[in-house]
Amino acid sequence: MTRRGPSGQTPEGGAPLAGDYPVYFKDPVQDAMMNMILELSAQLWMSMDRQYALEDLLSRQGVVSAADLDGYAPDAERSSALKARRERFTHDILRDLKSLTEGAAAPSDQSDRS
Amino acid sequence: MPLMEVDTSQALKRNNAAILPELASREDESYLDYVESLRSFVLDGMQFDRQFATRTAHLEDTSEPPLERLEKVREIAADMPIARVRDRLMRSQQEMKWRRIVSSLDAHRDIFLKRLERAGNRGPARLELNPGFKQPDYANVHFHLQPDGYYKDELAGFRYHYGTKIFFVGDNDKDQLHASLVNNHLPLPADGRIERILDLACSVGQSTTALKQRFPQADVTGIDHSEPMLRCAHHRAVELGIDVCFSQRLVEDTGYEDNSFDIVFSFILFHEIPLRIIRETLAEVRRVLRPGGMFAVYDFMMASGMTPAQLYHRHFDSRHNGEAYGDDFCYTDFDQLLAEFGFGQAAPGKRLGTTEVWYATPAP
Repeated sequence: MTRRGPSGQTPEGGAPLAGDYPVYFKDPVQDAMMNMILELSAQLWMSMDRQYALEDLLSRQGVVSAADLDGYAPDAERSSALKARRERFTHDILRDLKSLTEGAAAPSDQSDRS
Repeated sequence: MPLMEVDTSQALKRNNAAILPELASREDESYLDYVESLRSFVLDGMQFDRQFATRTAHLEDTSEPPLERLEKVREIAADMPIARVRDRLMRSQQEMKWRRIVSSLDAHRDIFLKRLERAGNRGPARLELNPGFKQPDYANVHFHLQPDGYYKDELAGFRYHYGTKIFFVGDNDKDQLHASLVNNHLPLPADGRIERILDLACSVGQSTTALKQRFPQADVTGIDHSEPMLRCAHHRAVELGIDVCFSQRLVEDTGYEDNSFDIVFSFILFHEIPLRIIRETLAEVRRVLRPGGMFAVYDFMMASGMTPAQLYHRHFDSRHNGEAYGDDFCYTDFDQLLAEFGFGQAAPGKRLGTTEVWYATPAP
């Protein structure tokens, strides 16, 4: 499925070119979602790559060693804070899946929840 | 990390590639490394071709006309969710690549322009631009979705170069693919005479410099229609210290004298020009290549020999990756065209991966 842009035809015959926002799935929202995931993955990799570089530099300069990082054990207070942050993080990412599950529930259940 | 205005030869060593344009930041490199991995996954990791082959095994018979096979292939693909995913990923990785390359290089546009300017009159490489040059209409295409195409932006050569790094998924970071073609897959003219070599549509000059390195005694010239490509090619050759000439000319109308070249080299040109220009270019090569000379062509496979998955990829690539004339080339019979324009076979052709190779020489 393709939406063609205004410059769909090449100057001298050739194949008709797809426009700027081609759609490959039945719903354009799925295309947008896929692009969001890909962009998010790229941004995540940038962050991971930078973190790796940071750890490597800290280790080489003797500030923090790899063993320090691997052996890091937060105390109870920090552990609890980290857990809360992790759960918030998980919830934020999976929020839409939860709404899908709720949407599939019986109407009576919906009214019960409201 | 900001790009510093430093000695160019040092700056070009910032990344591993040494001869690639460096990006504005390590973050940009990380992002594009990811895109390169994404491309690798789409091409290989997701094993689309293998899954596709199980559904299309009955269409492997290449005796059926390729266009008829393509129609059947497309019908099957329309019913395969993985084909939609593959198409989406292929398109998206191209869009992500160009967005980041353009923004990264544009962040230091002034520095890149200064480099081109500085290289302008420096040797040993030479640059011949044609102030009255008129771009042919057929070239007004954003090939491979490259923003602004090949000739409208002054940084088009740098953009193209980094774009091809990702296209070749890191296998050509040091021009090793070009070097391999030139060093291992280019037979010599039968009489061994090699004084002048013409590199058709040389873009940023990777094969041009490889040709000079293999044949240091020869006069090697790369031609292209795009001024930004040629300026980038010249800049690279100056940095590499290689004595080649880059000249702004049309492949179908070079302006060189009859029988003036011993080797004419063509890497991935013919799938980017319409059939009319393919024919004119063959006539032109026949004219400028001396008797007994070598015409080496490395390009897309002919559709007649493609697997169902390759037919599917070709169809997608032509329409969704700006390869507007790819079908013009792939759905013709290049052997027949070579014969029609007075070439005979100089050596048996071969296939290198999905690249098809022809070795031709003017027929007596």
